Amino acid sequence: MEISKKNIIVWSTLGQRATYGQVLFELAKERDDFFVMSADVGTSSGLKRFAEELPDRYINTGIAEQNLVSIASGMAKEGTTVFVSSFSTFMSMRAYEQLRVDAAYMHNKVRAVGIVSGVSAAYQGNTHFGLEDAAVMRCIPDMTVVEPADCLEVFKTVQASLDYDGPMYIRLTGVTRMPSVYKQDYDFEIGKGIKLADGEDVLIVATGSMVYNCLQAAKKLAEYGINCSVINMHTIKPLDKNILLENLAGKKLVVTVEEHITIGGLGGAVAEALADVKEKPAQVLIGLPNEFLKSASYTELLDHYGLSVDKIVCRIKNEF
Amino acid sequence: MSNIEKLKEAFVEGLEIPMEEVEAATMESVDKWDSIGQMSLVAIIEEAFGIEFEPDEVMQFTSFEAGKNILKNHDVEI
Repeated sequence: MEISKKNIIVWSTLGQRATYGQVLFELAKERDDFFVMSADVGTSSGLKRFAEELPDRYINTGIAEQNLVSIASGMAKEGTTVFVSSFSTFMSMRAYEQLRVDAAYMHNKVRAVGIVSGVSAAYQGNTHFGLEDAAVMRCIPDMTVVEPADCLEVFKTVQASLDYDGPMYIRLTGVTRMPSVYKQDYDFEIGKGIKLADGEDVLIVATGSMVYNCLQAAKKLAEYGINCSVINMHTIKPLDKNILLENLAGKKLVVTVEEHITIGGLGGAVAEALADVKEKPAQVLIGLPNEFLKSASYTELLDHYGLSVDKIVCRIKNEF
Repeated sequence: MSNIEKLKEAFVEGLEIPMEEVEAATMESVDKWDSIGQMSLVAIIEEAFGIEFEPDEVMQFTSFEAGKNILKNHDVEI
């Protein structure tokens, strides 16, 4: 499938969840080794065309996430890859036991895709927010957890997942008109973080929608004389500890930034990875609080909970 | 290329329809003009004309004629 400037612009306008469905539709023209399922959120997952034009490769289970995962696991057992999607909170928690036992314990190639994660559900509120999904998915043995930084990285993740072993949770954040971190094709490997900016003072490790915000924050912090390295840690599990160790020297601060609670997600994973490093800078965990949140527009929520560019800049300035 | 030609090219590219069908194109008449097609078309037009659709304009954009009116709202001569 072609990665063109046009595709990058269109995907960015569509947002991550519609891009997910669109790239599956395009990949299905090239590969016949995967199926797609959804718990009655096909349209919300950008899968309307896939369902209409490839009905033999698409199953809608209805609002039945547990059946969704069990059926997908059974199909995957026959040697195919199966993508399943629902809102991240339902995908990760309503079907938790099925993901743990049927998908992960049986080492099946199920790709559980959590759409509308973080606070992108906005006015739908806490029932639809994906606040702790990465944390609970990280706890499952054998489960890989990936959170793409932008819409091109959704494509890279979906494509790479076809040739990756075992179960995987793919966490999709952001809304339509999502800014692009990447303007052209680049090397992507599941489990390998990517350094996007180099600075000697602070190591920022970000994932998902926060990668772009952190790059913008790093530019602003440079104006205050604080120079930041920025790592896109798209794979939260297995975590790329090497890229952390390679970039720790001389840093005064490690800052993790995620659209997720600060318990058990990227921040927790980085803290665990660095726990046995004797000489290391302090870590600041920027993310959502472990509480039920307010409802508002997506932009308002990011700002209110300290995840807008300006709030990230302020926090790092204050902690530095 | 004139602005009207640029707009027609955007429809051909975004909705994958022949040029001769562009002027009559509506959301009802073009199979690929679904929600994905809509946002794809918006992205291509925004890039071509250096504008950004307002949310209401995205909702109102249901035909080629509507697209022309939206461009006029953004002071594009068409």
